[in-house]
Amino acid sequence: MSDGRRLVLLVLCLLLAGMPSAWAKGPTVWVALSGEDAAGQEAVAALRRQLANAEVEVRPWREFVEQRAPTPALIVTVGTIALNRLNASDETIPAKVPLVAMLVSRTALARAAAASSRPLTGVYLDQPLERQLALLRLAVPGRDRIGVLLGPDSGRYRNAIGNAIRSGGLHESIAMIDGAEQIAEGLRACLSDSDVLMTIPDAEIFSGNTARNILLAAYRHRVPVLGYSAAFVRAGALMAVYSTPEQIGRQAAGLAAEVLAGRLPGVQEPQEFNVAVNANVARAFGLILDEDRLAQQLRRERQP
Amino acid sequence: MIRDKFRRRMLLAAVLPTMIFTALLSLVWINWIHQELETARQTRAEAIARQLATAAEFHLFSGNLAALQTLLKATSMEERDIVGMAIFDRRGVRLVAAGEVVGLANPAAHAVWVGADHDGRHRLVLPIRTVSLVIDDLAADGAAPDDAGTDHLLGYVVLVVSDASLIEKRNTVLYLAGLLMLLAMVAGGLLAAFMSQGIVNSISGMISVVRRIGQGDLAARIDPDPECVLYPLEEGINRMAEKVSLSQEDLKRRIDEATSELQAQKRTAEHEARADPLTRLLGFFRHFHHPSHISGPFGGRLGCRARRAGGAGGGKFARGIQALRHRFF
Repeated sequence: MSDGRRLVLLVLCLLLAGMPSAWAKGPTVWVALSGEDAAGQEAVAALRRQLANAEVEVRPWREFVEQRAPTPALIVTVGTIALNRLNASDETIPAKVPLVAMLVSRTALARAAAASSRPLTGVYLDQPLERQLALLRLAVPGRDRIGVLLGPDSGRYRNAIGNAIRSGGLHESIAMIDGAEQIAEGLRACLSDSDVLMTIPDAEIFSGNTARNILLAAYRHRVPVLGYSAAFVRAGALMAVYSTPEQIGRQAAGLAAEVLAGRLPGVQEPQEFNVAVNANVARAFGLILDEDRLAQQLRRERQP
Repeated sequence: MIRDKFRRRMLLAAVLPTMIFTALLSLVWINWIHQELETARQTRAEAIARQLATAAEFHLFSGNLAALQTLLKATSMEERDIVGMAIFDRRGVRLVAAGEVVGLANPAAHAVWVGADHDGRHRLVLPIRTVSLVIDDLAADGAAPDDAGTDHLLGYVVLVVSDASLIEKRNTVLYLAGLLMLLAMVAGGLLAAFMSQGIVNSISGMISVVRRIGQGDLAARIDPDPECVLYPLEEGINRMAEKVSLSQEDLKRRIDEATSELQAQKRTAEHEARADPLTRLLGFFRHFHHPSHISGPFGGRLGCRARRAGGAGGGKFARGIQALRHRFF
């Protein structure tokens, strides 16, 4: 055998030896973080566990945008900032690369979908209205006038919210405001005619700075508040149905696996959830609530 | 007279240091009290402003001006120092006020004291903030969980604090300090007079006795008090006076004796001088019974010669005279 043929054979052998390891790695998945918060890390850990066959690269969103790297098979964003930045990076990341978003609000996800032609799906944090209304029926039966305060972002769901309340056999008292300056006015309008205040995530209305006064105003009107997170319940809301980062991460991993398999499922609401109750607030309203029992009842209601 | 002078000096020595120290202590005390009063007033005003800000937070959020006005009235009625107060919104528009007219000249991010104006008025400007709560720990809106921990400005509380009450309290303290100083001086003087009474009497007595002794009254003595600390001195002065008296008597007695002897010798000499020449001669020789008794110009010279002739010639002369004396007497 001539030296030239030997050399060609050697190169082929080396290439063949390297191929199994490349196949074993699986598709590359970028996971872009908005920050270094514990919730994001928890969600990413759950995602990693579910995507064991993929090559998962976890970095702050900036590194993916600023450094040119081989195109991934999928991008997973954690939080709103990472979603917006990577969704808009068509110049550095080909627009055909699909994106799965998690730990974002329904509003942010809808806005991102409208802003780009990139294949986009994800799991939003907001709990479905039906689930929240079901929790209200279970926990505070008889309180059927539901107050809702909507701002510029959440106002687009006014009709959907009204329909959901009415279809649940309850009465709506919805106040629409344009900004934080009108919160007190909006609260007066809806609390005077409500038995419960249901909160819809909207950064303009419900923030750390406004929450205290909203909770105080509701308490002075003897109206309990249905929050949307465990932290809201700790701050003074009566109860909330919420999903943990781990639950969201698991669900997002399922979506990612489907996208890697060549399908693009639609945006999903959280499937797994928990219930949190502030026992002190419940006692102040003369209620005795068990969060585990409420969560089980809610899960049973979901099942057909 | 001496006693009064001495007593005055003793009193001065006792009262002057007391007065100086009391005055110094009073100055330090008044200064300290004034600072404490001012600090207490500031702390109280800040506490009231914070309490007002906390109470006004919800009313400010809800725009309930009637509740804010009620709050201000209730606070202004409680405090004498606070002569005016007002609540402003975040843009600096005055919403409610009570008491003196208050303006918001320099809104600040933290509590600020504005110095006294010509009326002795201080202004405290305190921002009203909402205390943030964490209501979403999933960071749905970005990297950080909400804006927890940051404050949100709602408006300002402004208090006008008067100096009148502080000045009144300071004056009261001044009067009190003056009164205390006076009392301390009087008490110190009385105490000094009482405690020094024994010593003053004793020293005055000693001065008087020494003066009398100096004037010749050697019989003057001090009446010693064994309880007095100056008892040894009194005893010493008495002993000294005793010795002086004794020495004086001894000297007098000796002088009297010498005078008597001289007079006796004089009488003898005159008696002998009135006798016959032989007797006069005998008297003369009797005078030479001892060479030291030779007197008069002749005798002196004779005596001198006899002493100079203690050697050869003189001895003969003296022995001749002695022989004459033995022969005739």
